[in-house]
Amino acid sequence: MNDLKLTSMLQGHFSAKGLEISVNQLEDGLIQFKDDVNIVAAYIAKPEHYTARNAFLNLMLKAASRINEYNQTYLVAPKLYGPMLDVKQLSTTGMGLILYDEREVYEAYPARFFQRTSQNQPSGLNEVNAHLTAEIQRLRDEVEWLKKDLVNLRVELEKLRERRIVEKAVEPLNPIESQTYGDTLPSFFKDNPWITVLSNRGADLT
Amino acid sequence: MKRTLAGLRAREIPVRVLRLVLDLEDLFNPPLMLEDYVGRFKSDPAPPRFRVVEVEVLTCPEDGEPITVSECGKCPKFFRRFEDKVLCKSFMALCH
Repeated sequence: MNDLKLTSMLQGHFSAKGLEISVNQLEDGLIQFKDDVNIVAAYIAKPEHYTARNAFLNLMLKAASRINEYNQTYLVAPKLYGPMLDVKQLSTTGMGLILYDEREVYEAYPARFFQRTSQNQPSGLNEVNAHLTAEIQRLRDEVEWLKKDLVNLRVELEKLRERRIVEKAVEPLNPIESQTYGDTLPSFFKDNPWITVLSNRGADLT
Repeated sequence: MKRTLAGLRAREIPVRVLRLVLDLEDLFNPPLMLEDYVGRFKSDPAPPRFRVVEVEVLTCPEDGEPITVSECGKCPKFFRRFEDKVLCKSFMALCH
C-alpha cells in the first residue's frame, strides 16, 4: 500500500470522528489530526520498521515520549503484523493501535485520552511563574531584613535591661539631713539652705 | 470463549507458546520441547550447537487447524492480540 492510499484511508477513519488532518509528515512517520479542541497523533509503522533492528521499538519510544503533547496517540501498523503486537504493552503507555490492510483501517485498541501539556497550563504561565518567583524572592529578602532588625532590637533590649539593672544596683544616696550645729558656728550658717546643698556635693561624683 | 467487542461478536483464542530445542549440527535429531530436553539431559541446551526457538501456535476457529500466530495477520477475521489471546471477529450467521 502506498503512502497516499494509507493517508486517505486514515483520513477517512478519523473524519468519522470529526477530525481533520492537520500535519502530514508521513516521511517521518507522523500524521496529526485535529478538531477544534483535540489533537490526535498517528505514528505510522512502515514495513522497514520490522526489518530494521530496533526501529519499531524506537518508533514506540518516540511515540511514548511525546504522548502528553497529544490528546490521543495511535500506532498505525499493517494488519499482517497485528498478531505480533501485544496491545497490553501499548495499553500500559496509553497508546492505541490501528491496523490496516488493503481493504480496511480499523481501531484494534482505543487510545487513552490525555490532557495535553499545553491544555493543562495557561498560555501566560511562564509570565505568571516569573512574577511569582520575583514576588517570593522579594518576600524572602524582606523576611531576612526583618530578622536582622529583630536581632538588633533584641541586642538593644538586652543593653537597656543591663543598664537598668546597673542603675538599680546603685543605691540612691540619702540626702543628708539637716544637722544642728552648735552655737559656735557663725550666724550665716543658721537657716542657710545652701548648707544642705553643699553638703551633698561630692557624693554625686562617686 | 465468545464476547462482545464494540458491537462485534469476538472470540478469544488462546495462544500456546512452544519452546523447541533445535540441534544445528545433527539435522536428523528431532526437535525436542525444552522441558523434555531438560528432563532428558538434565541441563539447559548449550549454544552454539543447540538453539531454542519459540513458536506461537493456536487453533484457528474457522477450520480447527493449528496455525502459527503470524498467520492470523492474513485472516480477515483477525482483530487484535492481547497477551496470550487472539481476538477474532465472528460474524453472525444469516441462516442456519
